[in-house]
Amino acid sequence: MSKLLRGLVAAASLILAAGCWDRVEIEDRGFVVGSAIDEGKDGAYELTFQYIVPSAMQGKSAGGGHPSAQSFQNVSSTAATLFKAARKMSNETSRPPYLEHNKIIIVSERLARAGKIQEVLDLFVRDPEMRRAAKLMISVGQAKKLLEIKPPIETLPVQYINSTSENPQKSESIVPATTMGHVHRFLLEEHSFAIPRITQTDSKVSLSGAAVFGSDKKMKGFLDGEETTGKNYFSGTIKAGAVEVEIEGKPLLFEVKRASRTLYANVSDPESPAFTVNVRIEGNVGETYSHVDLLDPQVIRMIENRVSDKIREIMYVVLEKLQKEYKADAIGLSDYLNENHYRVWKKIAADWDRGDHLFSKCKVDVKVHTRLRIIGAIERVQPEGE
Amino acid sequence: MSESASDDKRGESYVFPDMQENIGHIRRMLGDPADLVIRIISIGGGERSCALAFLSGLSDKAVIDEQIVRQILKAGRFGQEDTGMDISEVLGGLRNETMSVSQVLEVNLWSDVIKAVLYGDTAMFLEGADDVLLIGTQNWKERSIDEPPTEALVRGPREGFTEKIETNIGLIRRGIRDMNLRFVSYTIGRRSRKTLILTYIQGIIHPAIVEEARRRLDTIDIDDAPESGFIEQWIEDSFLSPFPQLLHTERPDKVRAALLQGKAAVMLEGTPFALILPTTFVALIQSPEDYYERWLIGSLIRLLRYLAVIIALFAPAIYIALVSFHQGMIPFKLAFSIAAAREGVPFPAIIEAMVMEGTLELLREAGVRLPKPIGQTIGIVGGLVIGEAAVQAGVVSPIMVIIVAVTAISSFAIPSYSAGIAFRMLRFATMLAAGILGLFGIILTFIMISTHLVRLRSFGMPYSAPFAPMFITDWRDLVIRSPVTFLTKRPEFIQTKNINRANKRGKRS
Repeated sequence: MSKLLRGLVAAASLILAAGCWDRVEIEDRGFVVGSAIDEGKDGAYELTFQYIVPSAMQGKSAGGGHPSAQSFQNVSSTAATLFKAARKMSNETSRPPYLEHNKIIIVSERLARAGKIQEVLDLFVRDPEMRRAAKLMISVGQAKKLLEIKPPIETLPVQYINSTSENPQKSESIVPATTMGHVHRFLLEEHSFAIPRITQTDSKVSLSGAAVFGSDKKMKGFLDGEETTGKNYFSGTIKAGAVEVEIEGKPLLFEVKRASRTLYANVSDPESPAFTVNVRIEGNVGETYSHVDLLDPQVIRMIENRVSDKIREIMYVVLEKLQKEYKADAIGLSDYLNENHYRVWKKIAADWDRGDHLFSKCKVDVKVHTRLRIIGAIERVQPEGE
Repeated sequence: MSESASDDKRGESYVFPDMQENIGHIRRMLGDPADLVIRIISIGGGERSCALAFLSGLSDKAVIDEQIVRQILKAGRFGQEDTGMDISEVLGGLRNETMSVSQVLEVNLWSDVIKAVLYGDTAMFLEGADDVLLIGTQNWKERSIDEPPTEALVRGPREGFTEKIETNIGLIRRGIRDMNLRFVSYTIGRRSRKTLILTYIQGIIHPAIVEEARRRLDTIDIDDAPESGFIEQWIEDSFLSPFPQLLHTERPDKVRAALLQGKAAVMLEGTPFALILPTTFVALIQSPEDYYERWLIGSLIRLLRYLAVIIALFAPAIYIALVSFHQGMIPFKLAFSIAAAREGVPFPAIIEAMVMEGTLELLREAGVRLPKPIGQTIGIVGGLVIGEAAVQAGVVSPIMVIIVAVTAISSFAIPSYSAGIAFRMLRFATMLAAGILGLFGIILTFIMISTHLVRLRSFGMPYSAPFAPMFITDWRDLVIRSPVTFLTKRPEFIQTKNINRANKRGKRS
């Protein structure tokens, strides 16, 4: 009997002593939904966390509660390391930060240009509480300002930014959201990459554009909206788009419904591989003010050619900028070489977009094939001959 | 009465030839009870007389008046003493020519006489005879055959077992008109002497099951078994298991289906609940309606019930684990709305859940005990008023109320009431584990339950069959209930002697 008793005591203390130690009730967590990292004084980091205020959020969705209360609270603290900064925050808030629901990380342009992106990311990748799915963005100007926008539609600034970053379905000038996991990989592979740029205008943000990083982990510069479109065509990440062309002096909008990209490389001379980029586009006439007969195959050919020329033009602009100005292969040519011409790639990898900068010298030929599939539900708006 | 009855079991004392002495003896043995009726009649109005003894509450007065007393009064030729007939001839004559009752026995042991009278038969003592006539006049008030209230179906026969064993046997026979249907009779209870019937179909059931059932039934030695639950607990394999190892049912169609699957059933006099053995885990989740409805509907309903089992077991536990440990696993917006709802709740989730689930069990128990009209009021007061008030007072969060309600509904969707209780019981274990160790604790409990199920046996049959010793052909009728034309084989795991139950190609003539 005493044996049984002893066993029971052992089992109970095992369970009770080992259990519960990491139990924190949901209402005691300080949910951080977004973080912003700026440069502080003397090389220190200024970390800003956006905490949610659950009771205020509930009030907004259920119609009761405190409708006037702010649904979020931003807390900043400065320290030489981010971890220390986060710890200092615990002194100032009643609920310790909990980062599993951290959706976005905004890094200021200055930090990125100074090549500190990997230092900044170290904590976010190392700490098991962090999610690799958090999206990384580069802000023009101060990052923490972006977390203070009061969006009229959404309850949280972060929700606003997060939802906007998922809009590539409708916009061609947003780079697909890049998560911390991706960036971690790029950094490890010493790979050039582009991540979304976020700019603030009054009480709005814009995610159009991209920040380009070279293989030396320093930010080289931004791409504007149209250049980002070109970059997206190169990477094959176009989901939807709109191309404006002129037909008989009046605008016609071509809506891109489907786009695909195929790459081909001629590596007979490993020192300067020649690429052919084939872009296939399908789409409709979205809007037009001209009176051309859209049922005429000749006209359709003409529209298709104009669209192809326009897209090719956009692509060459961004190519030029990446090759000559930023010297960073953010359009995935190196991936193609790595996957398809491994031996050649092994030899030139070290000199691709650093060292000898072979990327800047290589020849890229762009071919765009457009197909106009649907002219719209109507043939014309005005009567013929008007 | 009781002592003499058990003494006479040894069968040493015989009936006396003297009628008055017999009357005195039976009075003494039964303690001269108020319901013992002794009627002395002279046969055909002659010199010879006889005495009838019966218990008024157990016997059919109409039969005794019309078919016995009246016939004896008319039997003039047995009444004279000078007819030259031997006394045993007179007794035989009375038996064969006078009584218009189908069941008449001639005995001379007191033990038989007393037993028969206690069952409701009538004993006839003839002056001077060595033997007694036992006339079958058993009749006690019986409930009509109603739809079983605990196992109501939308579609299916509306008949249920009653407390009378003969009726129940008849209900089974009425559905299986097979000469191989067997009814083995036992007398259970040292003092209650109730009839217990073990029924099965010879030629389908595996003989080992019958053998094991008989062996276990033979061991029962108890003064009374008021309900088949006593039998169940006496013959079950593991008394520590939370799961019922014999399925109880009030539905004759369920018993008949089990017999045809190669199982056996035990019925006890005085209770409408029959026991089906051996039983498997999945049998607890199946309902006859799965088979009566078309197969798609039947399969969907069955899937729904498996879901109900999972919810009844794990829903509150998962809630506790997510809210107390793994907030990162809750979707973004839901996490905030739970956090907001729990704002101001003074208890950790585990306490909150325990309080609410405990209240629910209390309400259920109170609802069962109370008379029907009040029971409904309790349901409304408990469910709506207490729940609403608790949320208003900020003692529990509204989400917890939803979880508790869903869990309660799910646990009542399980057809077997005792299985439902088992799941509710285990739910508290999973909740505790979740409160201590989070999801890890839930997984540990799940492993423990699974291990237990796999090693549990019911009459030698694996309880988790046909899942755990896998019988792939039986999967046709497991999670999915295949169309009837596909169910051509009896369950394989039960090793029936006769395998085919239908011919898919139909009748060929």
